[in-house]
Amino acid sequence: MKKELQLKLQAYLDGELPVGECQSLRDLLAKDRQARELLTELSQTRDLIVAHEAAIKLPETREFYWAKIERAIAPEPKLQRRRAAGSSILAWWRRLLVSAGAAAVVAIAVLLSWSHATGDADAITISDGSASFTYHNYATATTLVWFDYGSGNDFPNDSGNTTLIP
Amino acid sequence: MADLDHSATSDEALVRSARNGDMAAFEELVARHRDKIYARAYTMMRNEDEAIDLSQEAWVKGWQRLVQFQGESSFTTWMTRIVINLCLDQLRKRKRQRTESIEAMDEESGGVERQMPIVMINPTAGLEREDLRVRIDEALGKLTEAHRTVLVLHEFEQMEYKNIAKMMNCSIGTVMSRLFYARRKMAALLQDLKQVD
Amino acid sequence: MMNLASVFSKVWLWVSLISGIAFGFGNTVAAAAADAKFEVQLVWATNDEKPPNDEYHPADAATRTRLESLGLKWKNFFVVKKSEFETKGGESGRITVSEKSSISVKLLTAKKAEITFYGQQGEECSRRVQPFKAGEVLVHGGNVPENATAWLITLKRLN
Repeated sequence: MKKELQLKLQAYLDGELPVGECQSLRDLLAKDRQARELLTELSQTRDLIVAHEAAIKLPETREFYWAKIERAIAPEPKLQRRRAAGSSILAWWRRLLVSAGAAAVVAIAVLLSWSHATGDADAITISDGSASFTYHNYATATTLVWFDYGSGNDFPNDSGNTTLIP
Repeated sequence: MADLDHSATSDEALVRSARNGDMAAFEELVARHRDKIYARAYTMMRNEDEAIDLSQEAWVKGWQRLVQFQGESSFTTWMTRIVINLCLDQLRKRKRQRTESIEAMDEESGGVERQMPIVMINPTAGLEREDLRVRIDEALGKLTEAHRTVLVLHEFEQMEYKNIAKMMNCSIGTVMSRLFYARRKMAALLQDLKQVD
Repeated sequence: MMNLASVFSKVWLWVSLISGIAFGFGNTVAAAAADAKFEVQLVWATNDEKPPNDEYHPADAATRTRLESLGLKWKNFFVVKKSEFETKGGESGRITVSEKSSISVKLLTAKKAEITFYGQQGEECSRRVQPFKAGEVLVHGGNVPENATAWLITLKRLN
């Protein structure tokens, strides 16, 4: 059987054969046993696959899976503020220094003393790898810093080794 | 974690809230459809870690493009298209790293399937439904990436030839060939479920 | 331009002065509570039921509960190495966990610590400042794509 006919049979099965060609193909099917059998095989194979798609479940918990997504989409107010500041000009600096200088000094002092004196402040990540994210479970007082190596071992801080296990 | 209980809210309402920046609403959408999005990535990539990464990347892209979602299809269909595109990009990256690829597949390999004797299916032959699913999934894993991708897009996503061609950046003729070879290869791999005529 | 420079220098004089006072106050508080003991474990996470050799021991129940609370996909946890170390007088303590990793801890206050995680070449992979009271645990982990397992390093503050 020619390849062209095989593909036509398949297109007929999938409802993709132009209407004008359907009748001639039906005529051919009526007299060509091999074509009928091929059509039946294609049809049965298709139905078998469609009816038995594997029920694949994500092998991670809701929280763990969401944590990485959340980290990627969470707004970055500090970054936005820095970007806004980047558009400033000299006049803006002059105004800031003169009118807000004293207030800034007081604010810095309060912040510094507070951050050293309190023990219950929220965690501040100074520098985690760009391929990592953090998850905290309050019930067990446990924090996880996860380095995601994906499947291609592309963690930037990794020096050619995929694992820290000896 | 969600501040409000969104479990009874419709997808459409959650999308509207998420579009306004409500991350809790988006998290509910992720929780509802994560299995489906992951499953599609896994079916195409056949690698658990890669599928997790790509499905998460799809959700991030979904969040960023929510304004573009106009409701012309269901939210899951829209998200599925995003994850499929990411998988195709990933498969194309692989192409640059090794010979076997989604674009330059060995079309001749389909010749064997083309000449294969026609077989009749007997899907109830000794296998429970779940076993059958496993067998079919294993057979899918043995196809080339190009054959499997076309099969997944056509059989599971019910996409038309022209849309598959557009998505895979190839001709409709190529889609038809690959789909034909993929089905015949599947028939060959599932020989023991069939009775040779 | 001279006016601007003048204002600038005055402001920074005040910043330096008040910051110095603030740092002094903060450091006094930190120094008052800067001794602590920590436990470190190197753990292999896997779905295999049995460890590969005798050097791997099943994690104790408490460790297991904590690791399970993180929602990891692995079912079994085997401890490869376990050790303890101390920090004194506000100094940082560092411990080598494996050939490829080490951790340092510095108590900033009685309940807060700076924890740094280093890779094989001594490069800094992660540095965190977080509340770290007795009983708290910080876990650094990462997957191993080649065999679908993971490594975990648990750091627990003991007192």
